Amino acid sequence: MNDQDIVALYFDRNEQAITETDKKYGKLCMQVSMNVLESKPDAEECVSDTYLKTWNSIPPTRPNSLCAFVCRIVRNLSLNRLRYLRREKRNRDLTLSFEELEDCVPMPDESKNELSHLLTAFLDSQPEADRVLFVGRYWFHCSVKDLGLRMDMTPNAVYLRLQKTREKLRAYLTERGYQV
Amino acid sequence: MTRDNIMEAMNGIGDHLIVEAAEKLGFLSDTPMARKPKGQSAFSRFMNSGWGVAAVCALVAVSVMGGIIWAGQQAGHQPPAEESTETTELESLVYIGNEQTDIEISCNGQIISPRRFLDWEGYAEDWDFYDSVKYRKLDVYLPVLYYTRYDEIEWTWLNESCRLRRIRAYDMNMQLIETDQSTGLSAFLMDLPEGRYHIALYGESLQNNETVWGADYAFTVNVAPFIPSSEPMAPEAHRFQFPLISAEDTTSYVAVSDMNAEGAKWIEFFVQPDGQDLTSAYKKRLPAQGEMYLLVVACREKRTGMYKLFYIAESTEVKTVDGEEQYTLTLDGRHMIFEKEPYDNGEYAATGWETPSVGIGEMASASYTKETRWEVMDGFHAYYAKSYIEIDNAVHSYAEYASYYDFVVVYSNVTGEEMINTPVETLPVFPFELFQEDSIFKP
Repeated sequence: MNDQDIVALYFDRNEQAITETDKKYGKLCMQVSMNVLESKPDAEECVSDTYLKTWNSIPPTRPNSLCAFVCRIVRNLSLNRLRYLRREKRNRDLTLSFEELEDCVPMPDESKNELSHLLTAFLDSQPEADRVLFVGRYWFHCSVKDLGLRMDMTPNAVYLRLQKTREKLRAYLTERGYQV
Repeated sequence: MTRDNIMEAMNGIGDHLIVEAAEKLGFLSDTPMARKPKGQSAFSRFMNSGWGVAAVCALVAVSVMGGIIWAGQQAGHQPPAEESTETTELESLVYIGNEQTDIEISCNGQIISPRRFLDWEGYAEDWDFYDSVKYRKLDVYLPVLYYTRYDEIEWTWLNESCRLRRIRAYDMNMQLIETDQSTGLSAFLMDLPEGRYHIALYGESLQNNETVWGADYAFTVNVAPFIPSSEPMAPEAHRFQFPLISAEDTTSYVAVSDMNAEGAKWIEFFVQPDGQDLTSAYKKRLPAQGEMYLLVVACREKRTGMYKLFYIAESTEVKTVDGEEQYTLTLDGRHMIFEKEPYDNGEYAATGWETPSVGIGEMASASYTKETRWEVMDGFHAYYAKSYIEIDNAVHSYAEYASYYDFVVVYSNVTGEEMINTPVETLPVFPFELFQEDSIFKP
């Protein structure tokens, strides 16, 4: 079932919408949540909450991309869950991925929306593989090793490509007046 | 910026980027980008056709005949006779989900039993590729491969007594070429005991709503002899066919032994850079467009102490791909693609290579690290060495290669014609004494 049909089910308040969402994006949601939480029970809970939130959001929202929509929800829920759990455990890889980005993104008080737009524009200008790796690492929070497996690259190659992209991002933002 | 701010900023990136990454990383389709090697379309189309399947079946059946005969002999049996009804004793060991799933393996046209089923912790939905094993009712000894998600590779294979055994990863000289993360089906290249032959297995998934391993799943069994011997050749046994080559700014001696009897480009020797520091001596320019060049890779196998030499003599061209200028290097029908500009540290990034006639694609790193002992070469050459060795040797992948070899690269832009036309008798004696324990090749 395509996304439009699924969204239509939501608008019809047909609970089949959740079944179809789970069928189509359940695995993706689980992956996103697992990358953040590294805990299957926690991830499953977040995915369930994602469906509930999606159900409550559509309507009135009519997402342009249902895929991105549920991804954002599950990611946010997972990150919130992580914050909650942070005192007890820490996702090493997630922490590491943000530490990497800290070196090339601006310091506080910049507009996050503006920064998001800049990030999007920057990534759009990058080669596909670099773009996918970057988003895979810093949005989906995949480990370098996992990215290597998925992209059939060595972890070292992934690392170097990410490093290169981060360097480009730093230069990109610096050129636009950001203090990095 | 705090990490939370970064999270929020990243969370705001465009939908299209998220969807693209999800697709390319295989979150949506069960088919990661890397599963679609460049240049495979024609091959895949062919394999998707009935003719392709038939061709593979025929090829496999013919090509493995030698292996079957050999295995039969090793087991003390006669080679399979026509319409043989002899039951070959095989076992298949299968991990699949938490449920028992059937698997059939055929040998000489017969379905092999018994079957044994073992539990596997989860991911049952990802392991249905065994359906396609059923489809492959070919007269061939099949390696049964499976991959766990925890860096642990296990497989079954045929040993001399014609039984399938389960082997723990890395116990044997077997290399994972690529793995489909969604299905666990892997492509391996392996050499069987005593270097008798190696088997290449390649899988490609069909993409639709369900993961399907079907008609385009192809594998080949290559009975061409692998390394002819594990013993180092005596220096005097080498017959140099090609001249020594002097590069422009350093003297690089290149000695190439005869090809082996089977015609494999397995070349036994090498090289000395006139005592110069290899790190600087071999960082040469990339060949200009259309220029013929020679690349020589010299290795010393850690396990045996053997020195091995590989060479490439091909041409280059520059292409613009996605707005970026890239080098396309051609050798034996394979195209290797590099980013033209190196990283700040001088390393080149290989963005991929395609092997349209073979069906194995790979993206690899052109970088080197101290851990992997690539200190003596630059990234461009390192990648090249890896790739070319993999072509001829069909065993070692980049990641593990360094655990097997120390090697260096000599690069020159001498034409292949010059190389071939130099009389053998004019070749000087190779300076074997340079390969001493205190040399630069010391592991």
